[in-house]
Amino acid sequence: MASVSLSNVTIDVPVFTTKARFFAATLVNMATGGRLAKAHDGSVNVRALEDVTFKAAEGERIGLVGHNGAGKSTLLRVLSGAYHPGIGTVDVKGTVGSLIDISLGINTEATGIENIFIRGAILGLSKKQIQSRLDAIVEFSELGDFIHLPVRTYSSGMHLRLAFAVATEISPEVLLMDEWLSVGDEDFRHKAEQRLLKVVEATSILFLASHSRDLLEKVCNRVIWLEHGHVIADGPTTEVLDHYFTSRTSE
Amino acid sequence: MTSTLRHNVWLAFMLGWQDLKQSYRRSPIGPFWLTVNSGILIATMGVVFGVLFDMELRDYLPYLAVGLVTWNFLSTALNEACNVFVLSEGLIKQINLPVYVYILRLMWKNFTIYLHNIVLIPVVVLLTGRPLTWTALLFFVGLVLVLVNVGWIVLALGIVATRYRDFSQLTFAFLNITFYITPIVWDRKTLDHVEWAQWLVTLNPLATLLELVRAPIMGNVPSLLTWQIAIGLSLGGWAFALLLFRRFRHRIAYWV
Repeated sequence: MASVSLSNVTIDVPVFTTKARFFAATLVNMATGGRLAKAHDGSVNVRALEDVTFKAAEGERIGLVGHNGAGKSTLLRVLSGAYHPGIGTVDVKGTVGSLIDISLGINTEATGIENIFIRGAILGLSKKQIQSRLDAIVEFSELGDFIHLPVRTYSSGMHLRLAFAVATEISPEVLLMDEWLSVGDEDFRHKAEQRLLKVVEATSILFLASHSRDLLEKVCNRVIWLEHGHVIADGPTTEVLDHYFTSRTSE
Repeated sequence: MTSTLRHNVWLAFMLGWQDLKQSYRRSPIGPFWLTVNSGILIATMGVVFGVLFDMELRDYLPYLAVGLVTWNFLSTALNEACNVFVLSEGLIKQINLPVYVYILRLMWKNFTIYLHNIVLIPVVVLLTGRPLTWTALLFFVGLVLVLVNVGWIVLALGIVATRYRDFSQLTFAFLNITFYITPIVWDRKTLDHVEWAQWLVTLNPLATLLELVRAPIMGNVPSLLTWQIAIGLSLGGWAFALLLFRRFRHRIAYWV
């Protein structure tokens, strides 16, 4: 059974000024005494999430809303395990998959085939799994013989089709998404939509960050509204979205 | 658990292999371009410095060959170590891969390049007509110790240089200087009478690592002190790197 549980999660992201990035400057600071060092250290912590607590159970389709900088991306990073919280605990049971950046890890000098293996391995697919799905991936991407050429020779559409075809091979229990994926021309988009829906349906718990009301209402059965790193509201989709969008228009 | 480990090692090797291919992808002779490059360098430097130092080329060329290709491996690995996490920012911020994947990726890339250059060592030895004795097999023992040490240095340097970005310039400058104060193109024996120079070499860990792989090819068993320093360095270094890792492993994603 997949489940996600965050309790009192606080995330401080250090933002370094150029000075704080430099060891030489830090040494000089240390040499000139602690008081000065503190004042001129130059590293600032931005509180990206504060005291975030929620549980997610199987079957939940959770939308994340909030203005830019509200903490949505940070929360997705926490859920993926990339960010380890300084305060609070994160407990994710089940495999986590991400469709946030589908081009992640694609090497443009490598061929399409090579990239299927690289991307597949990054997503956690074994060599055997990739080999057995290779033909299906190539066929889905509609790249034909281009699959044997370096990705740098591809058009941006071809690049995305390849990335999408591999990325959607995963079947995680917890799926993370930042906006809906929409790739390719009219025909491909329809096909892609079907495939994406299949991945989303197969997953136990979905987290989808989005600014689109239509999308969230269509996909999600629960919405978490973040603002300045705090959870402002957490509840049924329409209820939270009504709040959120009225507050937005009244601004 | 073991299957995850195996998967991650496979992933690291594949990524490292891709990094390597990147550097010769558009060259017709592939990775052996690197070998040709090093070969020309050794031949040129060998003749120039051999004549300059009035050395027997028969001794000097193999000495230089082992030293130079091993130094290239060490210095490239250490220079790249500074960016081992920085260059993988996208991956680190999005998925939770274990840190050793990035370390192995870098090690594998550089070790493969080293393997392509090692080919030159027997070639040079054969050309100079030096005898290869059984002692030469100690090269492989030395190689393992070199790799063990490069491992902890890459890990430690990677963590620190992610936090302090000027570490990559500092490392570059440091390695540039170290190239001259380490016996690579010169032999410590020629400075037998200069005591401080002998100390400088003994205290230089990179000189110790070079000696481990070079002495066997030259037909000598590395001294007991060399082994002691190398083993001490491996243990002490890994202890230090793992402490650093334990303390800062979760900060890496915030620092990149």
